[in-house]
Amino acid sequence: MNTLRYRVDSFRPVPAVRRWWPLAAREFLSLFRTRWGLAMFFLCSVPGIGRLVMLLIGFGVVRFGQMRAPLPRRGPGTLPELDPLRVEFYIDPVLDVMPGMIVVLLLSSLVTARAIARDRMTNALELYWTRGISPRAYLFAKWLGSFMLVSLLTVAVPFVLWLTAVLLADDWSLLTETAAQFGLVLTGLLLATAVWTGICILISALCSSANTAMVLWSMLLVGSSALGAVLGTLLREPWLASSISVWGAGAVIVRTVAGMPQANVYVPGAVFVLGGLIALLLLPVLRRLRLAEAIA
Amino acid sequence: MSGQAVAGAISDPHAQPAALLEFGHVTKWYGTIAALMDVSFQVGTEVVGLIGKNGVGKSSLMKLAVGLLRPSQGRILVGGHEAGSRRARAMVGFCPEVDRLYEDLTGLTFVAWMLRYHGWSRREARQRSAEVLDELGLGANMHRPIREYSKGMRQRVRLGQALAHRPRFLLLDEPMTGLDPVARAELTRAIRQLPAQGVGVLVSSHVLHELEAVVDRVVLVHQGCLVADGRVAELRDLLPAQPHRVRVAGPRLRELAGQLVTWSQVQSVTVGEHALEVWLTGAPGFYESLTELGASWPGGLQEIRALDDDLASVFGYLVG
Repeated sequence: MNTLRYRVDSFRPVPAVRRWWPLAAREFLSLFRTRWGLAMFFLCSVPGIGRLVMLLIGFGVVRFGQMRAPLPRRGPGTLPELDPLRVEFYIDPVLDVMPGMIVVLLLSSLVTARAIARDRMTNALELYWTRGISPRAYLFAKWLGSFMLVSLLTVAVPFVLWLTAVLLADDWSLLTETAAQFGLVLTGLLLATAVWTGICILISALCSSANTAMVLWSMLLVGSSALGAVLGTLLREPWLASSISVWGAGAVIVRTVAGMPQANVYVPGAVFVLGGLIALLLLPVLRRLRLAEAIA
Repeated sequence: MSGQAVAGAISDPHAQPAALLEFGHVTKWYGTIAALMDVSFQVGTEVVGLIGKNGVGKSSLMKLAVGLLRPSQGRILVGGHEAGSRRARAMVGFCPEVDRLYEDLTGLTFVAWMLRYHGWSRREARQRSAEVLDELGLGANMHRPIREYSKGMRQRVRLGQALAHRPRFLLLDEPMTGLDPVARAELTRAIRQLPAQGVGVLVSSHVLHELEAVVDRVVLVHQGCLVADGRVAELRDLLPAQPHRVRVAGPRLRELAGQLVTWSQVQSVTVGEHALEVWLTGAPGFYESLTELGASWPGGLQEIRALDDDLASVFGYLVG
């Protein structure tokens, strides 16, 4: 041990964002620090990469013999989710249970669900709260980092695919016809991702171990979808499937914001389920994080 | 730190507040259980030891000082600011007892991240973290993941994150744990340097003889109450009911014992094989008289050593 060249520094206030942003950035980058994390992210990106390949083939950039399909001249019978000239092509893979929910479940379980529970497990919370970060800022920063990470796949990937299609198209009609709606779609996706990661981070804040949080979050996401499907079928009320399911309710909100046609949905029910869940989780979380005890 | 960094303490780092840490009649209740009862003490630019048995309220006291808990009654000030306020938190460096490190990060990255949560820029944080880890003897290993560190190295990282933002007041919970004897001696030396730099330190440890080498004075907590506050020697002198024990070695022990029992301060003398154990009702004047006697004693006295003036003895007398 060498001699401590120590001197006391004076206090200079800095904006709160400079104190909590590093925490959000660290959370965002957490998956990219290890080879295993990078591999997982690549795995979650596979559906997006698949769509990109479809686009490249469809627009003739990549040719496999006779596989090139002249997309702009497709007939009216083309499925919307397979037509790059329709918004559904870009968002259906995100909102469908397969692969959308699986991708979000994987990514959020690995990062979001572990975020706070791991800090509690290692007793790191006290260390944070003796810093310049208040418990509320800590909760927000952890959520923001996770939200940014999950948004890469739920928001950025559809946007990049759409932008690619716009640039590959023969004219600007795709841009002029879908830009306004696509803006709303992105807004809806941002909102739904914020809600999904928000619920997940609140579960993480409630749990004492990362594994418990991962299991609870998985059970909530998959279980509510299963419960909604079963109840919807048994009671012959198809709207229940999308309202009870945390995933389905998010999808309903995205499509509603984007002004897309939907059948068998009940929008207030979806809003009530997601909003109620957040409110239900938030109260015990505030107590669990001892926001009242720690002086913010 | 230059420019932007946020750390340290009050506006003028050289301005000396009356006390860096001040507990004023602090009581802390957990439901119906009182963890601390009407505790008052101050810490200035000095090293103060916090001692007490397990579960007597030491951890609560530390958490209150660092702002993690609010007192049920009373007031806690750090450098004149309410404990837990942003200014107070910037003034305090906390080295927790429990390992709270991220295994996958390097020592340098961990300390740098902790600095960034105080508002330091990335470049400044890395620079200062490297500097403090180097000073703590981790220079060669700061780029290795923490999971590969020994207990002593992990302890240095914990200490590094507490010191890195250049706080004015340090709270060290069992800082010697896991350190080898050489590192303990070095850490003791490092802590002893801090008051000269205007830093106050409150340090808790179970290893009382090590604590004794570091502290200027001690605060003793027992069953939630502050039972003693002062220098070890002063505290010892305040315990007249407990006879002092002194070991005296030299030639002609029986003859020496015969002389000593006639002295007014001497309660009894036990003759051992190589030394006497003298029990005193009070120490004042005894050592001067014994030194004079030793000067004229045939062959001289080889050893005069107080056996229970140390911190452990005082602690034992006070809390039983």
